[in-house]
Amino acid sequence: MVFNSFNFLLFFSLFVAVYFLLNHKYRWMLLLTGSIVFYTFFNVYGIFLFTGVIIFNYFSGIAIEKATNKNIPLVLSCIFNIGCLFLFKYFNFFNTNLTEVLKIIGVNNPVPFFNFIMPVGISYYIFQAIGYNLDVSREMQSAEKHFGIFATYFFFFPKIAQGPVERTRNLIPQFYEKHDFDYSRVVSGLQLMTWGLFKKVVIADRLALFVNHVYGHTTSYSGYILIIAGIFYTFQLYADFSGYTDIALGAAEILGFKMIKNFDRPFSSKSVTEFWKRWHISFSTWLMEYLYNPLSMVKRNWGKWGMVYAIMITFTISGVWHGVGWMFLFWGVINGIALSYEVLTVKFRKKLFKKIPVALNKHISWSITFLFLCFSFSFSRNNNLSEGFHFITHLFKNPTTQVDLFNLGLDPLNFIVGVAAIIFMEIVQYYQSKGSVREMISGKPMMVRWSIYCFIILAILNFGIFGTNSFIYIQF
Amino acid sequence: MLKLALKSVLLFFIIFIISVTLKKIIYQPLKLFPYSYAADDIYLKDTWLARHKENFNTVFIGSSHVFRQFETPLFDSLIRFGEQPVKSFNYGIQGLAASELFYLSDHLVKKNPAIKYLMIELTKITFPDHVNLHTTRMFYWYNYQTYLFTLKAIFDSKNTNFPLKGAIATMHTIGLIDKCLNFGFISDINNFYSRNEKVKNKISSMSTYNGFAPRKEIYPKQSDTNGINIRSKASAEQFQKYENNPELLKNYNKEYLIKINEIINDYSKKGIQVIFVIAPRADKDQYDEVIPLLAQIDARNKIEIADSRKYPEFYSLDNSADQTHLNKKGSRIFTTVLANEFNKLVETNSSEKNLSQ
Repeated sequence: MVFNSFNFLLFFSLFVAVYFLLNHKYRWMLLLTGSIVFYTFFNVYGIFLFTGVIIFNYFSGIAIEKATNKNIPLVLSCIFNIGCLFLFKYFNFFNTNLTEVLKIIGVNNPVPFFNFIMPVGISYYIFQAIGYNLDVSREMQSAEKHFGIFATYFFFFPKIAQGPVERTRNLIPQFYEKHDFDYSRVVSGLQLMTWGLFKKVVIADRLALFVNHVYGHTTSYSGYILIIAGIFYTFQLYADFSGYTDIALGAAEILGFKMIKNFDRPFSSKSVTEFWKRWHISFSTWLMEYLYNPLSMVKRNWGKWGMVYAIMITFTISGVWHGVGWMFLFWGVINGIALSYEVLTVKFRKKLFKKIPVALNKHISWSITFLFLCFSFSFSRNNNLSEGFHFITHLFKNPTTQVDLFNLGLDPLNFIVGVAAIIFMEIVQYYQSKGSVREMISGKPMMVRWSIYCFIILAILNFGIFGTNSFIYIQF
Repeated sequence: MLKLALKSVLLFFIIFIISVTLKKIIYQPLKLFPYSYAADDIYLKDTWLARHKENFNTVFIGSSHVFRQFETPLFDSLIRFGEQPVKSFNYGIQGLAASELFYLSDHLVKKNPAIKYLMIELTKITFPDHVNLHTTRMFYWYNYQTYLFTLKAIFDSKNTNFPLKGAIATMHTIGLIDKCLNFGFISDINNFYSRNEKVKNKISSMSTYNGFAPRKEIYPKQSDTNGINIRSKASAEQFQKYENNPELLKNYNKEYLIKINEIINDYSKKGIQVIFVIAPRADKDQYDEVIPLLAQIDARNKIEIADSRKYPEFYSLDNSADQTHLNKKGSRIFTTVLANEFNKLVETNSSEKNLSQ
C-alpha cells in the first residue's frame, strides 16, 4: 500500500479514528496490527523475514546489555543482520558477477540463484536494527524489554517502507507516551501530508514521464535533452523522496509521534558536504554516527587522509545501500571523491574565496554544487555502465537527429506545469528557510488559510498524475 | 475530532463545487478531448471507425471475449443474406462491461449511421476492472444518467448480496466523484496527445482484422484445465438450473431490462437491429444475472452461445488461449457458430417481416 493510493487514504482515515478512540494501553497493539496489514499490501512473505529479524534483534539487544564482553553478541548480531541484507538484497547480483568472472576462466558457476522478491524496506529495518544493537552496546540506551513495543517500533507503518532511518532511542520512548487528540497537531500533520502528496503526484510523477522516456533510450539522445533529463531527474528524486517523507512525518505527527526530519532544503547547499547534512538526514547521520566517526577515529593519526579514508568507505557503502548494481557503487564513489576533495582543499578554497565578493562566492559555490548533484544523480539513473558513459560523453554534443522536446513524454502544457511546479516548490522552500511555512499559514485569517488549502488540493486533483506509480526510494 | 471532521466535510464540498464549476466553465467549453479519450483501444477503434464509417454495417461491441474471439473477415465470409455484403467491425475492449458499454454504444450509433446490426455482449454490472481503478478509464463514462442507471441496476440485481451491492455502488460513486473532482485532468491532456502519436503508428494494423486481436498460443498448462472445467461446469449448471425451474427466469433485473428495451427501441428507430449475445467462459455470477435477462428479451434480439452442454468446443483445452479466452482456432469456431446463429436470426426476422407485409 503506497501513500499516494486510495487504499491508504481509506486505511489511514479509519486507523486514526480507531486510534484516538482506543485506550492508550492498547494503542501499541493497534499500531502493530495496522502496520502489519499495511506491510502485507507490499509483500505477504516479507513479513516472515521481518518478524525473524525483529525476534533475533530483540534477544540480541538483551544479550548485549547483559554480557560482560559486549563485543561477542554485538558481532554476532551484525553478522546476522548484514547476512540477511546480503542474502535477500545482494546475493543474486553478487552471483551474477561471479558467473561472469568464472565464465572468463571457463568454469561454470555451481552456486544457484535465489528466486524471491526483495522484501520491501529491508535496507531500512536492517540498518535500524544494527543501530539499535550498537546503541545498546555503547550504553546509549537500554535494551527494550517489551516485545510488543519493540516490534511496533520496527513495523511502525509511516516509516516501514522508506524510512526515515529512525533511532530506537528517539522513537521507542514515544510509544509509552500518551498522545491525546490535539486539533492543531492533527491539522499540522494533514498540511504536511498534503504538501508531500503535491510533491509526489504533481512534480515527481509528472517529471517521471519525461525522465523515464529519455532514460529508457539514453543512447538515442544527446546534448540539451540529456541535460534537461538530468536536471528533471534530480528534482524528481527529491520531490518523490521528500514527498514520501512529508507524508510519513505528517501521518506520524497526526498520531502524536515526532520523527527525525529527513530533508532541509538540500538544493540550497553550497558544498557537497553541506548537501549531505541536508539530504536524507536520518540516513546520513546514521552513517556518520555508526560508520564514519568510528572509522575516522581509528585512523585519526593519518590526519586529513584518515578523514578521506573514512569518507570513501562510508560513501561506497552508502552507494551500495542505495541499490544493487554498479551504477549505485559508482554514485557512492563519485560522492566520496567530491567530499574528499572538499576536505583536502578546504584551506585553499577559503583563501581563494576571500578574494571574491561574498555574493558571487555564494552563487558560484551553489552552482557548482548543484551541477555536481545533477551530474551524480543523473549518471546513476542510467540502466548500466555503457549507457552511463554515453550519458557523460554526449552531454555537450549537438543532437544528431531532430528531436521534438515536447514529444518525449510531456506535451508543452505539462512541460510548463512541471517547470512551474518546481519553481513553486522552490519558492515554498525559500520561505521555509525563514521559518515554518505551516506555522505561517496557521497564523493567517481563515479565508486565506482555506484558499491555500483549496489551491493545493485542487492542484493535486487537476494536475496530479494518478496511477500505480510507486516511490523511487522504496526499491532501496 | 468532531470539529476536524466537520471542517473536512465543508472543505470537501467547497472543493467539489469549485471542481464542478471548473469543468463547466473552463474545461468543457475547451472541448479538449473526444469522448473516447480514456483508453488506447477505445480511441484507436473509434478513430478507425470514424475514418471508415461508410464501410461497416455490422458491429460487435463487448469485452475481451469479443476482441479476442470475434474474427471479422471470417464472419463476413459466412454471412449469406442480403443485397449488400456484410462488413463487420470488432469493437471489443478489454474489461468493457455494462454500463460503460452502453455509453460507448450510444456514441457508436450516433457517429456511425451506416450500422445496420449491432451485437452487444450482455454482461453483469459489477466492480470496475481493478487495473482501471482511479484511472481515467474508470470514470470517463459517468454522467448523471449512466450513474443513475448503474446504481439502479446494481441494487435490483437478484443474485448479489446487499453488502456486495453496497461495495460495488461505492466504487462507482467514487468513480463519479473522481470525475467531478477532475482527477488528473491536466495530465490526461498529456496522455491524450501521447496516445495520438501511438494511434498514428498503430492505426494501419487495424485494416487486417478490423478490430479483432487473436491469441495464437494454445493454453500451455495442462494442470490449469481445472480453471476451464470450472467455467464449463458453471455454465452448464446455471443453464440447467433455469431449465429445471423456469419460474426462476422471472427473477430478473428489472432496471437492466428497462435499459435493454430502451436500447432496442431507440436504435431500431435509427434502423439498427440490436442483438444481445451471451458469450462463453463467463463466471457463474455473470450467467446467473444474464440468463434470466436474456429470457425476457425478444427472440429477434438475442443469441446465446455460452452453454457448455450445447457448445463443448468453447470449453476445450485445444481451443483455449487462457482460462477465459479462446485461441485463434477457438475463435474461428466461435465466429462460425455466431455467424450461423446470426444468419438464422436475420432469416427468421426477414421472413416474419415478409409475412406481415
